[in-house]
Amino acid sequence: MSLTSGVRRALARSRWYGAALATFLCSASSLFTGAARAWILPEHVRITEQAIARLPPSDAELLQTYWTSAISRLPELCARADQTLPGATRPDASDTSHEALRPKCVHLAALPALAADHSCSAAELRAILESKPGEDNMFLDLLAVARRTEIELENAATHTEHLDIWLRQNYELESYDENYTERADANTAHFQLPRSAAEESLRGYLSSVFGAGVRVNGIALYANYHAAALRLASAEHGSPTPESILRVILLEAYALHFLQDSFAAGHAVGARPPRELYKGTHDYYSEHGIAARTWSAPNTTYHAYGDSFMTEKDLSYASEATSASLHQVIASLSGQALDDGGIIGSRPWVSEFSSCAESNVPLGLESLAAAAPILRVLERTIMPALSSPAPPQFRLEIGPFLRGGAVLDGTVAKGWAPDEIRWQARGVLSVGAGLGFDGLVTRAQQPGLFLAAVGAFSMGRTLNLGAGFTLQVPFAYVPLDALVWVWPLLGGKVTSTSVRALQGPWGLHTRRRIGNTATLQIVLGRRATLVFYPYYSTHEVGESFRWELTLPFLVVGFEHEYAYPLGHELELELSLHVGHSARDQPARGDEGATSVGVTLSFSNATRLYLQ
Amino acid sequence: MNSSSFQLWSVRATALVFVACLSCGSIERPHTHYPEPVMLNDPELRVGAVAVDVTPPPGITLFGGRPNVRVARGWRGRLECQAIVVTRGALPIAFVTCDLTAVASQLQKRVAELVRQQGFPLERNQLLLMASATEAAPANYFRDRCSTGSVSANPDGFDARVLNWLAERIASAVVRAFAARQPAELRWGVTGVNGLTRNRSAAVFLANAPDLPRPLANAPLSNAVDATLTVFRFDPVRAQPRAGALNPIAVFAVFGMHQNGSSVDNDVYQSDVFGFARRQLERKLADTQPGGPPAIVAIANGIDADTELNVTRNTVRESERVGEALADEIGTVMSEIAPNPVASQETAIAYRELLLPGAAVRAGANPPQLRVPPVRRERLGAGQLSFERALRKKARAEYAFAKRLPVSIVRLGEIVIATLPARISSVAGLRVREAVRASLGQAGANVAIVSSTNGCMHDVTTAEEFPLLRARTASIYGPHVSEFIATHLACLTRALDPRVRSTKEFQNVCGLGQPAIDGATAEPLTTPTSASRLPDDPSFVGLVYNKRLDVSWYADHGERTYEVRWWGPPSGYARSRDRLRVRVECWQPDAGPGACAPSEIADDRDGSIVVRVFAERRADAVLWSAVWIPKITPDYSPWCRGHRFRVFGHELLESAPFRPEPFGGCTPLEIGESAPRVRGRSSP
Repeated sequence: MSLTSGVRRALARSRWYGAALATFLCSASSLFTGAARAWILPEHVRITEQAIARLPPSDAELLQTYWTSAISRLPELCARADQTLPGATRPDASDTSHEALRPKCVHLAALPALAADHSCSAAELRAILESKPGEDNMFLDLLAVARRTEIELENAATHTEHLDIWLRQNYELESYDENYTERADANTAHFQLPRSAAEESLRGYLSSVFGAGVRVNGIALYANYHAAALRLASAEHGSPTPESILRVILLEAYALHFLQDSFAAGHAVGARPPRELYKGTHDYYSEHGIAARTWSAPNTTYHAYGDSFMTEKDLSYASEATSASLHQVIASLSGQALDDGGIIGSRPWVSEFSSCAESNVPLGLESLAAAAPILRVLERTIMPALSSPAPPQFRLEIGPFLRGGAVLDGTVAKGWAPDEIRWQARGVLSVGAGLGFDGLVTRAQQPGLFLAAVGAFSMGRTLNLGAGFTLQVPFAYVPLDALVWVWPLLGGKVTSTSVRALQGPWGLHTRRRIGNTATLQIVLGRRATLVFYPYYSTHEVGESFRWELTLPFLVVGFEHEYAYPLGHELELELSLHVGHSARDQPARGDEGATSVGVTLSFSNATRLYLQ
Repeated sequence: MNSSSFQLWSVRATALVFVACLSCGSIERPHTHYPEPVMLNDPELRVGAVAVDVTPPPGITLFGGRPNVRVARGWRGRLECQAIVVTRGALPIAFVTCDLTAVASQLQKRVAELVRQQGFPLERNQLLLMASATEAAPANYFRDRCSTGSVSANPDGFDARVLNWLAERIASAVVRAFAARQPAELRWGVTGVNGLTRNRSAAVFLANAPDLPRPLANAPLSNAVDATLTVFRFDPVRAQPRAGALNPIAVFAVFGMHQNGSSVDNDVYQSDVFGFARRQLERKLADTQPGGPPAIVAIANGIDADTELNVTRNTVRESERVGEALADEIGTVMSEIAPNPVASQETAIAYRELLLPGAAVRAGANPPQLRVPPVRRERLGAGQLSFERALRKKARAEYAFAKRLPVSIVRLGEIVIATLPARISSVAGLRVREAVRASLGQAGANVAIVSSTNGCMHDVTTAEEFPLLRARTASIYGPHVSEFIATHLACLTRALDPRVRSTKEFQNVCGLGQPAIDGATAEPLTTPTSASRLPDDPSFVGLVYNKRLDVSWYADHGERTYEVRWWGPPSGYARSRDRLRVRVECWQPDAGPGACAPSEIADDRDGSIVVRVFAERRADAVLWSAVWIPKITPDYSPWCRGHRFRVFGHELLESAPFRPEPFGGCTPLEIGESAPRVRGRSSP
């Protein structure tokens, strides 16, 4: 799961931390909206590696020749074109330290992964490769993160763990590439645009998404960069110089990134406004997949997934298209004529088009809708979703919400009366407000805080009315430790506690599935309900002041639904119960009674998100 | 992971949870670097042509020149631009004709910028952006208040988004035309076409007597217009096509016609006569060589300010009739052009941006000055009076009028094209033509006058006509404007020879304090004067439930029309033809749509279907309407045959099959009984 733009932007503004908290509480939700990228870094790498492996031997041989020539201009690149990530043959590698996984050079298959997500143009991709040679190059660190993520995903035991690894990877990438989220959140460059009913064919769709004034989109950017690569390659007439080969490879790498993105389910459903729903929709379809059809085989469907959930099918489809695209470039470099009707060679394409800065596609792309090489590749891509009837959109549970709930619980406790265990039934109604920040911390941490006023009536041997509040705050180790791991960061200090806090401590809070309908999770300390009874009545001592604290420690969640703007949860909780009644005649030396027990409660709550 | 890397990313990640909202500012992102312009060096003539749809979504005010102009609610025939790029050697010239009422100089500037940005060496002085002068095109893209003020647009104001909307699309067409250039041969023909237009004000015309130009001196008043039709045909260089087949790259015609086919209560975009003519000619060309690349037909407006359609009633149907007649005339000229290309394939252009008002009209001790005259008030109705008052108010403020007006002379083979940023009356236009001819030294030279190009200074009349006209139709810079323009176009004609430009004698006659030839003056960016009215792309298409479309009919001006309505996205959704188009297909239940000939399919591009927003009752969805006005030709009659509507939009919608019937009914039935009769309404 990737972080949202606001979070990552703020990374670059750490000096403003002091005023952050209050502002965050009021408006953070508007920022957790857009940042979503397609395949995660290791998946891009795998797609390209397999695409290279799919090339015919003659193409592979030529590719190696050209690659060898190109690296003479850029020594940061690995010697072999078919090089893979370190440890790729050892998925269960025991040494997953950063140093062990950090490659010594950038290989060909990594370039599409580093393009667009970690640079804004082919020129910037090259500039980053050249700017910090050797050990300091951030790309090498990114590839180490990618490899470790891949290993961890393969070893993830639970679904929650998988989601957490996805989330953590984005934090790690952000730490090496401070503009990571900036790029992803900049525009709709990584998405396909929805298809209307009028676009019955690939050509019709391309005419639509290549048009002047159309929002920037992945298919248009692939066509633009691929055409630029082909034009440059064919201009060399079979005798390319090392410099031109390098430029062609970087352009094609940039193009391939967007081509591969088009196979990710979260991106094939399109980026339909409003922006607030981009990420939620993207994440949902990445995880749950779509029934995908390609333009070339519209009657055959396969289940396509997205970021971090890539399957062998996804890999196969995406690598096949990547391979076809690479083949065209290799053929052009070797001097073979393009079967494009002269379209691609007819004009200079905007090879330095910034995929981060522009909001519309380059002008004049429409002619590429008729270019056979472009069509031959893009016919292998997934048909984007129709704009109507459109697939449902989703939103992460982020931003301020109002919360109303009702709880029925039963408590068995000792201490109300000497040597006696008593029971109490209680009904609690709560109304409050909170802030959701799903996607910023792991699901296991219950990413939402709220404070609600409660009214309670308890029924044991007597009936009593009380009032109080419920507070939920995520924490890492102990309740309220958020102050520990957040506050230093507000001052710009570093603690490993903070890191662990983001990931969830020791896996204790991992949410386990029970069948298909329920989850089980230890939540001790995240939530507390404190109720005061000003006139608590018992037969023994008459009326007294009493407070009760309920601390859930085990939760069985039956339902946690969210359909913007309403969220709903249904839970069965096992809680610790502590209560204390003040005696009405303390002068007699009786200081009061403290009850301790367990509470079983059934809660039902609804959240209304305000944005 | 070691602790240092932990620290590194943890600092950023966690802190950000709490500072996110401060980060609304963005980090500077790398910007796009556009390619350097390519070098043109092909010695031969190369031509590329592309057409582009420029119909904005409904919701923008129409620029009708009336005080009661309306906001567009749909379209009848799409607005389009045609870009023809001609290069020879290092000189490119882009001829761009557009279904617009007029051209803002800032639009021309923006288009040139965008084209150059994409790597094509097109300077502003090599771009001829020509408006067809249809009165049913969008407004709000002019920077001068005179053209975007309350007298021309309602709501008024300059809207930068409308300008960019047009500029991006036009530039895209020019870029593609540049890219599609191929070796070409130029052919041309000139003829006179009488009967399509007439002079709309005999009294004003006769004020020029006895100094009437020769073609009009002896003509009957009904023909007191410039009837010259000039046709350029750009053919690909290849083997001679089969006999009778014409498949040019592009056809560029110039004919003067004030297109007033839309009624005063029109509220849809329309391309008017030129649109009908263009589509008719494109169909004919496609028929002569099926499967060949489509030829682009571009028609520019000539001398038209005092003309009107030669019809008894201004209706769209009459516009269509005139348009098809014009297409026939152009087709005739095309087919009669000699098969051999003309001897000279030379191209040249001279361009100048004149600064108004206050300019000296001619050299001398006390040259008359161009000025903004007071507004005449006689014979005005209440509405007109209000209009004239508004115009007078604007006239006091000099800024209200365009001050930078481009003119140019283009040599295309053996023909010279003179362009001016205004509509010009017949006598004034012919005097300009004579001045250019005199400058050429060829009394009989073919000179095409193209109006409404690269700028907007409204109407230009002769000094004799000026006192008889109200402000709206008189020259807004005074009585000497046509003289001023003629002087400069004659000078530009001489300047086609670069050796002449530097001579002292040339400077004396042609200087007049005006900027250098071929120089584009700096033009400041204009800030919008009103909130944008270009509808946004709707963020959300509400849940709409369209069952099978019901077809109903009603009588419109004595014609049977058929209508479907459906709930669809707000108007901003219809941002391109790919988003929404409507067809009526001949539909035979047993044989399917393939059984019908292409001519038996009506399309909303061709003007026989009116698509409009019928009602806006919801924020997220509106009720759309498509009305088909069947057109009966010798080859096709819809009566008593099965048809159906198909709407290609946010979803594909189809109507039940229906059978158009003439008022007398169908006898005998020609399709199966299963085809239902449509529900009818007795009145519109």
